[in-house]
Amino acid sequence: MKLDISIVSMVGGATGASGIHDMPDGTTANGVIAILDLPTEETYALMVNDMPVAVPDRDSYVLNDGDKVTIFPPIQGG
Amino acid sequence: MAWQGKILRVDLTNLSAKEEPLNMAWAEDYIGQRGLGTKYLMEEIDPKIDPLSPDNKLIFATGPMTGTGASTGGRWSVITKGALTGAIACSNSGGHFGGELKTAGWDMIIFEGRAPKPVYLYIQNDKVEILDADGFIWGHTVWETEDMVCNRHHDPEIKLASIGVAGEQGVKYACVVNDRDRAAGRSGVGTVMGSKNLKTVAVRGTKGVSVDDPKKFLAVSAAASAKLNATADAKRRSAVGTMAMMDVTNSWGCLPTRNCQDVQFEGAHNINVAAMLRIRKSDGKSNLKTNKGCFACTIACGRVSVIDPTHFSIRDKGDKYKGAEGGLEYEGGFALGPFCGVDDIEAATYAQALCNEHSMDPISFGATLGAAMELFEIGAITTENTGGMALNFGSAEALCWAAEVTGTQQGFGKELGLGSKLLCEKYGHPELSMSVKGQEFAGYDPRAMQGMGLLYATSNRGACHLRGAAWTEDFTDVSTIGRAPAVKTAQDGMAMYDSTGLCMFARGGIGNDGLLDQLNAGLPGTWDAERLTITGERIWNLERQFNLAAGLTSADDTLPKRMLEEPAKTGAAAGKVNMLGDMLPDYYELRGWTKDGVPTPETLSRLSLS
Ligand code: SF4
Repeated sequence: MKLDISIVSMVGGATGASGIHDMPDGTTANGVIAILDLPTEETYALMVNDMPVAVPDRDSYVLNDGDKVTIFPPIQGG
Repeated sequence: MAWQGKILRVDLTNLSAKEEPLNMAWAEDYIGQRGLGTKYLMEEIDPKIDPLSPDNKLIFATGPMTGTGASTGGRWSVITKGALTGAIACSNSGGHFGGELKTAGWDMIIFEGRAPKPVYLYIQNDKVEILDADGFIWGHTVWETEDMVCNRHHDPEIKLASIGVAGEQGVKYACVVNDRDRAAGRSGVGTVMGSKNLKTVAVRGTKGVSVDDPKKFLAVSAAASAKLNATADAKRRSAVGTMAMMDVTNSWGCLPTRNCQDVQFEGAHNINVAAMLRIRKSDGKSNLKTNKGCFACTIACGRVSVIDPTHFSIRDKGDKYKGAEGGLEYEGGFALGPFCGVDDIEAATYAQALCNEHSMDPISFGATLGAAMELFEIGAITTENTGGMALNFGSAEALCWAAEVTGTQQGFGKELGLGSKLLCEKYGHPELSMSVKGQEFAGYDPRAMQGMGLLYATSNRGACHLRGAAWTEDFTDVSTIGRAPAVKTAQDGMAMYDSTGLCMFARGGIGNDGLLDQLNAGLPGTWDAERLTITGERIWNLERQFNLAAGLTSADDTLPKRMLEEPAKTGAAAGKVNMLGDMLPDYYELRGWTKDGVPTPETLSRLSLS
């Protein structure tokens, strides 16, 4: 299936991973983070089709073809 | 031992200054900087006084780690009763001023009274002079003041903390600016400085700062810096700065836009980090030139920008704004951009430069202009009031004009200098001020960040994102779950950290262990995690006691009606409002306060507060 992934606000060097990705059917929200190999010390905010997916739900949240996934690390302003 | 053991007390009314020992017993209980400064203020003034009366005091305070070489140990704070809020004010700044003050031999300066005429303070180590500012720097900008004082005293290394015309003339949200573009920004601390006829504090220090165990201190501070540098957060801050936040808040739907009428901004891509880096057609350069750091900081999150020389705001102003100056940070960026509906990054950078040179808090200035724009669009303010300028949302011309007239206090700039609360009251729509306790929101809409709403409502200095936000929870979902304990813990943690002299941006990277290692190598005695936690809670409650004694009540722990009744139109919280009423009782209970928000006798006794 195809996912439209946006990595916002420079996650390590991963910003370049933004774009359309082909991922196996059944990929979960957490699966996307693993497949993209994002640095693991971060806690990411994650939205699917502009709605947040809470951390405990991400293992069971199965994505669908065409979903828009937005990922960013919460950082403080100043 | 990290402290110099000395404070400088300056009696401005009688133009005299004297040295006093630092109260070390209080330093044990309140660490330094924010906590210790608040303790001094609480002991020395009646919280009910008018903040602009000579009875108010103005405290410049360092923390124990300031100036020591500890990782990010260059922070200092201004503590007073806030001119914007009438509440406790503590504004934290970086740059090099704090380290210089400590190196000159002073832990803290307490200003009292009001000078009979404009003056400035000049400190060279032990030598302290109160000098005439009238006919010299009074009436000049912060930048001119820095150059003129360094020239007069033939020393380019002098570090200054100053006010511009906005501070002299009573703009309610005037800040204190040091090192050209670092600011103790919020709550009108610069307004208090102006009311005392104090233009600048100029410091040159060559004494150095000693620590308890120098060898160990060197090792643990180097280790803390190394640990910090290795984190993704530090790398990100260095590369993209705080402006990276704009894409986050815009995606989430918590970017305050057009006076919080919207929570996402269609023009964000023109004013975000990518826009700062984009090569301009006009001169082949980008807005962002480089980054820079404060004293002893290895992150260097500060932005240095060059405004497009062909931009309408500066093209006819000679060379004045064409050099490299402090660029947009997220908090100034959101307020001068989306909050006013403006997507012109060069205009926002120019307005930021004017805030620095005239000493205005860019958050409160931008948010007050945003409120004025809404008042204009509903017809409550007209071109007759403004002298001809149309204050429509999205007008970069209005933004630049407003920064000029407010910074120099001309015409309608006097109205904009009132802050959004008084301005909206004056023009008949108090509900349009996006403020708490008189202080304007930071760059986060509380409808999509429930914890931020609780923080804004309960922050002791009025709406503020730096008093302890539940970042992780708020960017996980838009519920209220877990927000009360997360906000309380974060508030206590920030109160503690703001008292050390280190930068809060390093807190995650250095961790409690790194902080403790540095405190314990720098100071006599022992700090541990439990002592840090309880001290943070003590400081938070002391600030609360100040506010209660000043006459504030639980009725002031609230949010503007728009946040509680008008649902967000789009984003993660589309259709939702902030549910403050669900969180506040839990928060009071967790704090050990009555249902009216007053610390119980048991709580005060547990925290050794009376
Ligand atoms: S992280 Fe940024 S604000 Fe903090 S000390 Fe370093 S440069 Fe200054």
